[in-house]
Amino acid sequence: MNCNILIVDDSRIIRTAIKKIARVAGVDDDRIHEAANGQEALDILESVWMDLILLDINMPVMDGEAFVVEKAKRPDIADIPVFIVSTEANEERLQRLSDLGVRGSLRKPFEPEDLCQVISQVIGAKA
Amino acid sequence: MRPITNDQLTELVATALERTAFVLVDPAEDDAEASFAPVRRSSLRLTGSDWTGVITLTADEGFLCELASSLLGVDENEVELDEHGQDIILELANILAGSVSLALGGDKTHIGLGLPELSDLAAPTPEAETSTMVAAESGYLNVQWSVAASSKAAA
Repeated sequence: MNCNILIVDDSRIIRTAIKKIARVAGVDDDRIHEAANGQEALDILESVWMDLILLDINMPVMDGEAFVVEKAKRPDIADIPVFIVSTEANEERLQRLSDLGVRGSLRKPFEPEDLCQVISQVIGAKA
Repeated sequence: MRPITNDQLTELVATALERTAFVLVDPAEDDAEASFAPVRRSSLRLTGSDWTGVITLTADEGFLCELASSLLGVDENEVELDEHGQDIILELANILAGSVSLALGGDKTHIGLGLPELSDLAAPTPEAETSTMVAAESGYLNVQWSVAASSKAAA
């Protein structure tokens, strides 16, 4: 499937697990990109267009919320859909993120099938 | 803040492991402590309005290899403990802290989550308010939850 997705999570093992799920959802291996924090994600977005960003919140350097705020300020990347994949459960914070354009959230621990469905829905709509 | 019982903590741990990696665990037998040989420990601080708490995870090699193997889809003997073991126990602390946070305050209470850190196995852990030891197929995981009033509240 000709869609690029970006996995932003400080845990390498979780990025690897999500990458496996993305492959099952039909994303080509060379179109799956990884970043360990929000700043790394912004750097990647300078040069590669993404169709979906799967974002953790609790990360060092630049956390997920700061990333979403920064992304919203940049018209060239503001429209890229973001889906939160995090331990965050606080309704107020998730609402703030939703107000900034985040499409939805999946709370860790999640079922792989649920994430697979999210990826399929978002990139399937673009395919 | 709602208190957490040992049974609740066991259930949170079991759910996290099953949902994240299809690893099934049961409460460990009483004599498991005697054969438990921990190799990694992680901790994560949670902060409420007038308290702080710490969740501490301690795991043996068999448990970490089983969990990493299941998450990565590789054989247990292909797991590199230095790289994967460290990463997995940090992320598990993060996931469990999120579950504990939700159990403590629901989704309407703000509880700050710190970043997971590796801890020295020789260092003493805070006195546990709640704890559980679970057994997977290849090893054991011990989880402790301790809570204290914050310095701000104490002052």
